[in-house]
Order: sequence, then C-alpha cells, then structure tokens
Amino acid sequence: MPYLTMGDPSYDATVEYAIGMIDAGADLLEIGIPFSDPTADGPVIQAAMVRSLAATEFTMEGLFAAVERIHTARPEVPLVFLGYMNPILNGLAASVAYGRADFSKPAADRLQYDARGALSAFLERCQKAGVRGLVIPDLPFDAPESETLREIGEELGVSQILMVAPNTGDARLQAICRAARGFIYYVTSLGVTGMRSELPPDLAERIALVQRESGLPVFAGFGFSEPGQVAGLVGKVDGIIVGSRNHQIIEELGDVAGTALVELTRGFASARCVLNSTGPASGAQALEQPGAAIRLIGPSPAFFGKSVVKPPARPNCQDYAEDPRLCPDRDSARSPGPDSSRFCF
Amino acid sequence: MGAEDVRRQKLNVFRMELLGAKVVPVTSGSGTLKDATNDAMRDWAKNVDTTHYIIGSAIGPHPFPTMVRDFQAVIGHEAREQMLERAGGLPDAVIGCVGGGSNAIGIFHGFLNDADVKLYGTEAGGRGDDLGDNCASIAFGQVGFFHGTKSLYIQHGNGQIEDVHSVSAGLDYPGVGPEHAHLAVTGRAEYIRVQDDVALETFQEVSRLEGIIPALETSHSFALAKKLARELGPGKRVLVNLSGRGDKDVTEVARLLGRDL
Repeated sequence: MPYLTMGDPSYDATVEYAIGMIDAGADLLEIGIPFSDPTADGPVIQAAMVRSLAATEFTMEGLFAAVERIHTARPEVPLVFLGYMNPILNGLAASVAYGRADFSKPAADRLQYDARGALSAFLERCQKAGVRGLVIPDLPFDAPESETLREIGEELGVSQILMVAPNTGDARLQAICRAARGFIYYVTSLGVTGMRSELPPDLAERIALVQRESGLPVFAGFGFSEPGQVAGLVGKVDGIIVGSRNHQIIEELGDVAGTALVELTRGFASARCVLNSTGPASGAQALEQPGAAIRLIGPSPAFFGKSVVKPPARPNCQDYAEDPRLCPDRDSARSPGPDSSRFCF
Repeated sequence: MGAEDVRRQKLNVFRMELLGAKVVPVTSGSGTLKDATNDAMRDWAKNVDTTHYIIGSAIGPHPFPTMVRDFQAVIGHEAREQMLERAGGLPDAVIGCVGGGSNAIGIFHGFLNDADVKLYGTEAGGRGDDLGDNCASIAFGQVGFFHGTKSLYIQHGNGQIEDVHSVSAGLDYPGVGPEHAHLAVTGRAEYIRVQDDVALETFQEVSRLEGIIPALETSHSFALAKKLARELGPGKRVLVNLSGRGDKDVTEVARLLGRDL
C-alpha cells in the first residue's frame, strides 16, 4: 500500500501518480490529508505537507474532488486516508460553524459544538470518494470521538484503521484488536514516519501476535523504502506501507516523478509476487460488499501470497476463500489439492 | 525551542546551557512554541524508553494539563492563604496571563470555589484581531484537536492550525489549555485581550514604578490590573500572578524600542 500526500506537488500530479502506482500493482492506496502540524510524521512527509499546503489553498472539498478522480479512474482499489484529527473534524465547510464560542451569549448557549455532525459529514464524503478506511494517528482508539467515528463508519462502510506500536502493552493491544476493523496498521519501530536502515528483530513475532489477537490482516508501516527490506517478512505480514520514500522521490523530481514512483511500486509488488504462484493479486479482490465495514479491507489480496498452510485462525478467512469474487486464489480454494487450505491473506 | 524563540529569549537559552542543557532550535513552521512542541513529541515518541516529555504549559495530552495545573496550583493555594493573612481578605479579582495558560490555571485554582472572586485571564491580543495577528484562542478559536488535547484552537476554516503572533514568546501558541476553555465557556473566568503595544508600555511602566521588570507575558496581566483597579475603585484587592521575570525579554524589548544593546 503506497502512501501519497494529496497535493504534493499538485492535485493533478497526485492523481496521476496514484493511478500509475495502482496500475503498477498497489493493492490499496493511502492518501495523506495535509496538515500544518503532522506530529507523527518525520521530515520527509512534513516537507511534503508543507509543499502541498503552499501549492494550493487547502480545502477539504478540493481534496475530496481529487480523491474522487482517483476513485473514478480505479474504482476497484480501496482508498485509505491518513489524516490528523483537526482537519477531519473541522475541514469541511459544513463544519466551520461548529465550535466557536460566542461570548455575547449566556454561558449555556456560548458554544454550539457537534462532533457527531462534523464526523458524519466527513464520513459521508469518504464513502462517496471510495475511501474505505481512516488512519488518524493523533486520535487514540478509546477517545469518545473514536467511538462515534466507528459507529457512524460501520453504517457507511468506512473503517477506522487502528495502529499498534512496538510498545503497545498487552491489555491495550487486546482492546485495540477487539475494536479494529479492516486491517491493523503495525508501526514497525518507535518514532515518526521515515526511512529506517534497520527494522526491529522481533518485528515478525509482534506482527504474528497482532494477527492472532485481531483476526485481521496486519500491514506494517514506518521505515520501508526498498523492496529488499521486506524479504524477511514475506509470508509473515499482510501488507507493507511505503510513504516517505515516495515523497523523497517527489522532492527530487517534482511533477515528473511518475516513472520513478511506478518503478518503486512495481518493485514492492513483485517482492510479493515472487512468492505468489497464482500471480499478482489485484486490488479488485479487496473490494467488498457495500455496507459491511467489518470486511471492507479485510479480504486484502494475497499481499505476500502465503504459500504456507495457515490454520484458520481468523474467522473471516474462510468466507473469503469461498467467495470467488474476493479470493485471488479462487481456483485453488475451490478445488481440493495441495493448496486448498491457502487463504487469501 | 523554536528558532524564533531562541532568538527572542537568548538569555534563557544561555542559562539552560550554563546548567548543562543542550538546546536544539526548531526551524519548522513559525519556529515558536507550537513547533517546538511538535518536535519534542516526535523526539519523545522515538526515545520513549530513555526520555520523558516534560511540558511547561497546561497543554498536550492528558494527564499533562492536569499535572501542570496541580503543580502550578501551589501558587494559587499559597496566594489565597497570604491574601487572607496579609491583605485582610480574599481578592476581588485574580489575573493571570494565558498562552497555554499554566500560571493562570495555577493561580485560579486557589480561588475556583470562592464564587465572589472574579478570575481574569489575559490573552495575547498581538497586533490586532485579524486571523494570525494574535494568540487569543478563547476569543477567536474553534473547538479542535491538537497536540493531543481537545480545546479551542486558532485555525483556518479548513482545519489547519494558524501561525499566530504575540510579542511574548510564552503566549505565542495557537491554542489554550482545555481547562481554560472550560472556565471560559462556563463563564467562571473571563478572558481579555491585551495587545502587543499595551504590553510593551506596561513592561516599561511596571519596571519604572515598581522596580520590578516583569516578563512580557506578565506585562499583559499588569495592563489589565491597571484597568481593573481603576474600574473597581479604592478599597478593592486585585491579585496579579507575577509569572515571570523580564530580564529574559530586555534585549528583545530594547530592539522593539529601537535600541541596539
């Protein structure tokens, strides 16, 4: 799953890059909503957000319009937002009226604030634009707003994608896994987004734990820049998120970065395909019945084409394996044979 | 520390270095408190095993605003005792300056349950009321989420946090501690804007008349104290939290007054 900050270097370029990366084998696409203060991001994505905000007057409507262009061009690929809470809550013009105190009024009437209304408006736009998941790094999963968001999202088919970090404690990890929908974003190492030369030695072990606890696919992000890095994770992780490296390329090449981005995406996609005897999985198989938020991104294609037999630990697995629309390995899933117990993710 | 604040508060930087600290200037954004907070949080997230984040203001994720409030409240509780003992009664008004609002929330806490004591916070009115010209989050902010806190933040209509302005580094923050937002909205405390030029005049006036060089932040509070004292009339008591010394600001004030030290 490649990541692109919308609007770096321009909305048109992001749309072009996104389509190119999807065609190069991206199964999902994560789109960053630029924010003035991206505290979870390292210098590369910070700079991308600064460029985006400088290039165009940021409006959430403009951003959604560009996202809709990607969705219209490649409707089969689920889109995921990476966004900080403040623009999500206050970015739409419909939300601007909320939350300003009017001190000319008596205390009880000073503040009209409707988080539910603002979040509903935002999630409805997401649904329309093909955005099926939201990663909000500055909103804890147990904040009241998270619960509101998941409640509304469940109806609209937009999942809140929760993050687990290397230092997430056992009790919290279990609670996150219970609340999670779609997939889990596993933060590989402490700190902010950015390229790392080394990944923690216990990464695969932690990912397996999160897979077991959640019954959901686990995508790993933070630190991936070269396809070679994922060799040790093949068969162990359900997806890889690549962000800073893309924006390092854009920083160098600006609006002619398309070829380099496509090449990088293809590199990551083939790291997957090498081990997937049935060939490259298409994002189409990740698309789901509308309204079933629990499965939205769940049946992700065979990111690393697990060729190992895996016990049916995850409850939804079987359903997908039996549904030819969803399973990249539909032939082997249908006919008994050496591969009959392979699962889609 | 924000690069702009490293410049504005050279003395504090030198002091910290004397005490053995390494001060890292932050150049992102407007190079002020907001940006320093961003980078402190980023660094902390990376080095959480060996580092603890200690913030001076009543902002940031829970429990930081509560911790800062409780420590600063020592001043409020002692001030209340001293007022009863030495000034012969509770104050009619208590004033603290508010950026994130640590000193103000601390002194307010001594008097929150004294319904007759009016609580006043002074916000940085900056150059005026236009977006980006001040740091008056209570007057002009919108409910938002920032630095892990739900409170009032100065922002564009599109959810981006605004680059704000105040002559004083300590008030130069686009939001306010969540408890102040609560006190403002419920009406327990009142928040008044004091502009840069008034704060600068008061800085000089308090220095001259009282022999106290107050911080530029605190000068905002003294400006309101002068106005309130006039309105309240003789025989009333106004308590000002002298939250900081102004020697750190002397170079910057001289520069603003056209003197090169």
